[in-house]
Amino acid sequence: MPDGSASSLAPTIAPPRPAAAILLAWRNLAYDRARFVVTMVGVTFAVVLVAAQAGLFFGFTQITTAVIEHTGADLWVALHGLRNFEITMPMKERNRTIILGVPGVARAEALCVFFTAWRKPQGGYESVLVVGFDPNSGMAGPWNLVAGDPADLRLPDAIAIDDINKDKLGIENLGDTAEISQHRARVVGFTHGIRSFTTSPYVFASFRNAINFGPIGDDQANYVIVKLAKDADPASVAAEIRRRLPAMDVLRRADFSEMTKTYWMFTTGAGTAILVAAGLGLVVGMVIVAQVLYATTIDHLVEFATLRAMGAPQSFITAIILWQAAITATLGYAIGIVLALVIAHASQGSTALIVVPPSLAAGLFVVTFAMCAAASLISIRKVMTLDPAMVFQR
Amino acid sequence: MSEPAIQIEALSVTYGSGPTAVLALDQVSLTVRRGEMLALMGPSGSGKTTLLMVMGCLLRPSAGRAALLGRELGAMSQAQMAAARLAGVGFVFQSYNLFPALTALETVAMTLQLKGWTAALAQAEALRLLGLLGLSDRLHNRPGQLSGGQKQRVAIARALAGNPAVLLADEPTAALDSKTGRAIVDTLHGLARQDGRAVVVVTHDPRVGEIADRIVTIEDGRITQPVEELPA
Repeated sequence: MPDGSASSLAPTIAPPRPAAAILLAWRNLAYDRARFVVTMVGVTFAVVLVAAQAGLFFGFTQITTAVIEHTGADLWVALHGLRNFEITMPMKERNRTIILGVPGVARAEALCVFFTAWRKPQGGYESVLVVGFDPNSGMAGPWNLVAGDPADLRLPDAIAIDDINKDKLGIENLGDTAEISQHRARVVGFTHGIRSFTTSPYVFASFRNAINFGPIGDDQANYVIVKLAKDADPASVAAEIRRRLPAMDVLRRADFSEMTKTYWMFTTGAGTAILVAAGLGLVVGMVIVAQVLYATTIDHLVEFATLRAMGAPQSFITAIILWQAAITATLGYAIGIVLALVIAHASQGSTALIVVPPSLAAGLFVVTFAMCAAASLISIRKVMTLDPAMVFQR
Repeated sequence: MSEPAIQIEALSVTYGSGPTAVLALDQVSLTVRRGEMLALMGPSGSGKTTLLMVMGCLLRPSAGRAALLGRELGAMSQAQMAAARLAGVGFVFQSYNLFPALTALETVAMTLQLKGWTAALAQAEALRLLGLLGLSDRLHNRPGQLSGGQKQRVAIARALAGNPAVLLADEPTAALDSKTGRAIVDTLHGLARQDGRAVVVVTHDPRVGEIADRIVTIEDGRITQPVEELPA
């Protein structure tokens, strides 16, 4: 008998070629087309579900801060206690004059924002969020005007609404009239894609018209929005405004945007609910993928046992299953993200905006891969505990 | 005398432990040399397959010693046993155990790639082996498109991939008609003689016994028929 050490008789071999694992993985998946279709549907479903939920989150995030981001203002000044864009207490409009006197301030304009009642021409009421701005300032006006002339907003009673809300507000054409707080309002412009996170659509009006519609006095405003002079230091200017108006909050645009976003998405729980739904989508997708991959593994159990009996290293067998997961992830992601983009595109015309930015698409690719890899762990464990001797017992 | 490929000495294998333990092999000693075709015969449950599994590095001895190509199983880890199988043993199974999704050519080429061959070399060698077994016209057929005999020849080609020194066949003719079975047995015998390979066939088939160089009969885990060494 030999002494147990390696003998010259014993041959040695090179490590397995990865191409063999890839071939087997692909053939295992593609061989049973019905199961492959089910797998693809499962992964695609998970990708679409997560993309739609996360896209809604991104969409809502964008909606909550849309006006802030489009004003072009560098600083926002409001009465102390500010938590979001929509809800503020009015301040004296003369604060604008004080702010204009602060070095580094190029422009300062009054802005009013308030919820009020809209009476539809056909009867019935809706809540609206009026944004009153100075049409001469070039700040805070409506954007994406698809019908009407922005200059007409200077006319008495003139307002602009978003075409997405036409039905909700009972408006069909330019020139239609409704009542805001029992005051006549005439639609002179339609925007497109300006949605409100609350259920109350935005109504844009000149500051003077807005005062007529609203609960605030003509010497009041909700915000003073500030455009800084070139080379002015925002922090220094903000500090000086705070010094001169200690009862005021002074926020940079990015900070105010973040504050509003956080308020609506997390303080109210709306964003959390969406994220939980996205997480559930991920879990459901993972369960589907795990089940399908496991069933595929079970279908090929004898082949895996044969490979083990032949002496295939564990790394090779693990690679086959992981490649199955990777192929499933790649194809499922590709189909899913295309569908998600189609859904996102379709949402442009609805009140619920789904946004799939490149960062979300890239992140979802990683998540899909991780999901499929995690789902394959049960299969790997099953195959690793397989007794290769089972091939002799059939 | 040709080199011993498999050496077994006072081998015992016990499944389970305690009162439910089953002694599958009891003090078995046997040497299989290169160039020899050995038929392992005996009734069902006699221990033939267990012995085959030890010879194929799939099972460690509970007692005694077993060595494959000069390396003792008792000294090997599971990974080393797998590596020894991959490098030195080809298996032929009763149920063929082909991969339904792979063609004959892919089956053999994949096995070679598993053993580290490049795709191009694996393809060429697979073509050669399948040609050797008369399957040149079935290269692109999947198992579902092959007859039983053709499947078994693909399985033999796969077992030969990488030129292992030992070929272990478990009832290779059980699922075949007599003519096809005879052809398969002749092929296995040729592989032992021509290539200096050790071929062990577990079988109930008397045709295998007629052609094999030696017959070893096992009953109740013991070799009952005297083991005659193959002349050099």
